[in-house]
Amino acid sequence: MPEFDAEMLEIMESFFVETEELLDNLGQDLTRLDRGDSDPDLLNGIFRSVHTIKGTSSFLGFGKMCELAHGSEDLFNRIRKAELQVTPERMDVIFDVYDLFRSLLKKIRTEGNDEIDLTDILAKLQAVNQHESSKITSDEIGKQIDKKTNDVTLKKTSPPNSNKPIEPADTTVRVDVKRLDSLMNLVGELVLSRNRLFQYIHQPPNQIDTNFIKNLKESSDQINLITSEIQMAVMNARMVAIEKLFNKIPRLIRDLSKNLGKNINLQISGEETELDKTIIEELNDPLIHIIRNAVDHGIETSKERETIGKDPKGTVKIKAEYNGNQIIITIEDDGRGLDVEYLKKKAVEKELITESQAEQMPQRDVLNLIFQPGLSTADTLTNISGRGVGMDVVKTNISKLKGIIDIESEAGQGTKIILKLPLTLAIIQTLLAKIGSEIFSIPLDSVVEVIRISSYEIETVNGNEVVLIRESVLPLLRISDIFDIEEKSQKSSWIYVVVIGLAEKRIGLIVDFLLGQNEIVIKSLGDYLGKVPGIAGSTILGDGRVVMILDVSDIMKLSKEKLTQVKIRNKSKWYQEIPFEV
Amino acid sequence: MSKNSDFSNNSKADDFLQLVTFKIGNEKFGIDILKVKEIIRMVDITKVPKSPYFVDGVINLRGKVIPIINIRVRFEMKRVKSDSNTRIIVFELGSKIIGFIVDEVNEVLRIPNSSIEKPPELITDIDTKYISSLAIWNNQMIILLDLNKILTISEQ
Repeated sequence: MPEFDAEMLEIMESFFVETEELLDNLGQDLTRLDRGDSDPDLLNGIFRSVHTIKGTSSFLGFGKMCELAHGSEDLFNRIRKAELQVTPERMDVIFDVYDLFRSLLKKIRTEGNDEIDLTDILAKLQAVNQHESSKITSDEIGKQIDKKTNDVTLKKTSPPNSNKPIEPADTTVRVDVKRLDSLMNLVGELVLSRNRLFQYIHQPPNQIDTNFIKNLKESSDQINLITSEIQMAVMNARMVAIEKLFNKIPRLIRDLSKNLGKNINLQISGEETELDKTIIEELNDPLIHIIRNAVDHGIETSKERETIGKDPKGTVKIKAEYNGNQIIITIEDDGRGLDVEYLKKKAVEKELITESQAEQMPQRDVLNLIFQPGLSTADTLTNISGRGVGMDVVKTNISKLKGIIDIESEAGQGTKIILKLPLTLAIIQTLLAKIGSEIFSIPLDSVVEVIRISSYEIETVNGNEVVLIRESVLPLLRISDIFDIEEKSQKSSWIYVVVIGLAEKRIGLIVDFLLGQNEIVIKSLGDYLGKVPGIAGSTILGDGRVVMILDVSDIMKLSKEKLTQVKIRNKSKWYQEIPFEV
Repeated sequence: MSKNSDFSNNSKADDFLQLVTFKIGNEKFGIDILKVKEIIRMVDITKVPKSPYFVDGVINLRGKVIPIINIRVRFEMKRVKSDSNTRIIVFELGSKIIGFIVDEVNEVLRIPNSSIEKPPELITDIDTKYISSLAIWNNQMIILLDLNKILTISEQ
């Protein structure tokens, strides 16, 4: 940011926040307009937004932005007065204007000026701002524009705008005053409880009797309850509806359909589901990538679909919902689905697995192959997707959020991608487990299940322990394999295994005892120790003890060094080779 | 307690160094009192896997998790069991708060800068790179440690 003085900076900050919001709303409104919504309130709203942008940019001296707003304002005015119709041609120009507003705002943020050449967009605006009868003029202007093939401004606005880099993250959150009020109330109650407890402790009765203990207990319970509620309230304040993310999707689908020649019916539900702000920001890229894949590779062209008896319009369903302490986001399409055989072939070609491995691989594992870097089933790289580096980045992003990603697919029917994310990152539910002489905390979001097996069920192959669970091979890990912990000698024949999962990988952690579930606050190990491999942080239990929290993603990586290819005997007693990707 | 203060009007605060002295094994050490945050009794230490060999683990200090260094181990001396004299000195180095275990804590001394000198080579069992200077006071040799060097985890 160029040097502005303090007061100016404050004004600029407001300008950015307000204009971003105006543009967000404008974007949504324009999409509705594009879909044929002709509600007068909508048209008025659009006009007002542009008018406001004109005013604020002019006030701050951003000439180009003002010019653009002025140029488009007239068009919107005519549309809302029904002097002009909304045509696809006009909508294209309108969307170009919108994108240019975004670019201008970004330029102001990063470079302090809005110097972008507007000649072409203004010409286009002028062209569409005329009645259909004067179409000749717009064609002529159109030809002139085509001549300028090297124009950088044009190039900026023509590729699907979904390729534009994400704008600098906004570090503020809008909080409903109701939520703040509720927080204030809770703090008030906390003060009262604190006073009560304080009084009991500092002015105890002469005789410490059961009544006193009872009062202390009540006070403590009260504080406990209020603290939990405050925790919830603060978490709530950080929550943003996923609508913010979902609103970009109609535009994305529109651009993708147009560029790829697909006909798509988009269904979005659950947009009121709320997520922590940081998670929403991290979700943006993976979500966009998954949707691009669905439109590019999943949904077939209308002709193809008709030929195979499907509705020429492809459907993409995006849903968000809560499930306990998690949020589940599903992206489903009714396209061609993943061809398991083709995937196997490609994986073998790229030497990710061997032929014999491919033959025996269960479908779930084959589908999970798409998360390998370098594996892309698109034979041609398209501008949009297909570079083969997408899905593994998606997986990395989801893992960063401590989430799990699953794929379901039926060849010819469609594909469904399921993202499961925890609601919050700083306070988490964990499972306390005793391993040897140490107690560890395992984040519950990464725990798939806890099972009890007998020591006879453990097969040892190539020095690695595994167990067969519901026809799937589960690699086992003893903490003593990766940390220097003394293990208790196994006297009992029952063994407890905590199955932890990350993205699509599963591993079974052998523990001695399960001590229960608790909610903890993650404390870092401090600057000196920094990041210790395998440990996500520490926490302090109710009795004051410090316990280490396992970092599931590190544990997966560390165990990979231990595990290699495995041959096991399955139920029908013939050998299977299953690749060991952990 | 030895008489160690010189209250003549000529001396300025800058000429003196206030040290918290402590013992590890047979050696007596000192640390600048301004760096000491607190001194606590020995508590249970939770091990941190895959941490440097001289880090015994972490403790809970009023809600804050701080790492604990075992200087004996760092100086390649034998580990000993803690007893009623064992203490943990919690100090601040830059932004880091760290504790180290000592066998016993002795008095606070106010030593004139003139008594502090650079250490000669090979004077003790301790690797001289960890020693920043020596103070001779009352016929005692007090070793002032270079905490930065002690904490630095060198690439192996």
